[in-house]
Amino acid sequence: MKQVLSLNINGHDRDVMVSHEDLLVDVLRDQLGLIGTKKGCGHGSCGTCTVIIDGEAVLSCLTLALSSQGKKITTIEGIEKDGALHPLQQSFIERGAVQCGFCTPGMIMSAAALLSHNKSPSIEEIKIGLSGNLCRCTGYVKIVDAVEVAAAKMRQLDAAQKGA
Amino acid sequence: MHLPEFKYLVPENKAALLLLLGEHQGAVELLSGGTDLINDLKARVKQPQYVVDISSLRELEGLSYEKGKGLTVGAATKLAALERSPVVKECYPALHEGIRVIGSPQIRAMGTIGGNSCNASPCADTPPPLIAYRATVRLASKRGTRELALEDFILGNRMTARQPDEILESFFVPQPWPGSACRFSIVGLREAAEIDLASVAICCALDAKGGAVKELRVVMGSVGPMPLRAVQTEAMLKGHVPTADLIDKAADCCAGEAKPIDDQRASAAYRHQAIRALFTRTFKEVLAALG
Repeated sequence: MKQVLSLNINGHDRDVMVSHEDLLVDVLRDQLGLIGTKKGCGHGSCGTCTVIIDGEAVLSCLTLALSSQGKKITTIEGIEKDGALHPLQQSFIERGAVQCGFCTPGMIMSAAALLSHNKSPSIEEIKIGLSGNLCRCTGYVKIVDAVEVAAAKMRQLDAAQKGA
Repeated sequence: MHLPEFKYLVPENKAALLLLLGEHQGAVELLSGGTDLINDLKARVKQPQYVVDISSLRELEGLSYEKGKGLTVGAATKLAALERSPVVKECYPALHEGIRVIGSPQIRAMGTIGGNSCNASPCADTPPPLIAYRATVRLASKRGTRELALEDFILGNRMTARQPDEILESFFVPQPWPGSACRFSIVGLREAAEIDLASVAICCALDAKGGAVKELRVVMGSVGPMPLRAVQTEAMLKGHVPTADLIDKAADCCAGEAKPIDDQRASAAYRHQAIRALFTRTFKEVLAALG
């Protein structure tokens, strides 16, 4: 049985037709064309389907689309601002933290949630924050490095904004 | 992997939820964090007619602490919220550790304390410390409410005392014994996103005069169909000063009380050894914390 569902995604309300048993990851990718969010293991182990819902990094492969009604969903497509990459996206490029790229959207969403709770994470805290995201190209060193660089950049931007 | 067909329902409040459960007894699965249920649906382990989403029922969420009495936690409280709670970290460190080692940040942001007990996986991380802290659960149905000890709630592998028309409403974790310390340790295959192959939670209070063990609970996880109290080990230590020799004997006794199986994570023989080491390590940590 299908019904209309209104989802708030990346700041916009989007109406979709969903079945009761549809998963958020499938609605994002197949109906809304938001294919930045990847589908990996499909049971909550790999983290590549990570999106941010109401400020928390969660797994869209274990979330029913209907459960997401009334919540604010942010995907990898929604973190740039006015065409400028998010500091995390920029630092992932600069530090060479992307190899095959399949884990990258999930890594960036987990890192974004971490930095929203903790503006100056230690390396240990970054590792814990990313512990639900697997990279099979074994690129963790550069990924952790990129998050550290982005955190510093974001603190500078915050300070500049406060000074202005 | 697509889910089998079901009807998705969202009750407006707890009263509506209890009516719904009374009406559709046995045909309902409750959805909160979904980290276990959605996987069980995908694997067709569960094929309910109705999935009832309780994740937006604020009545089932939140924690309150009364010094000297204890901590009340709503069953649908997110694990991440408890992990961030200063009260949990300071007053119930073994429970905090049990939460910290669960899954990944995403799993802890989604999963709930109630789900961890209701799912009744033998390797769940919060039941052993909760039982060590003498936690009780409150169950509600339209017939009324009842309370029972968490150790009497979890009956076996994926089995609880919850009736089809009941919900697990909240946990009550009493104030730890005066002058006690409690710790929880696990052995897994890696640091993150692991599933325990053995765990031990210990709560202990010593006699102010003489230093004999006055109160003690030892609970083992992942070495039986449900969390196991090491009652013989508790009896062996109670009333005695925990000398190195006695701790060594108690560790043997504890390992003997474990009832592990061979599976893909570890052999039963290894798990007996792991329990022995975990008991010794955790009990020494407790004694160190007691000064």
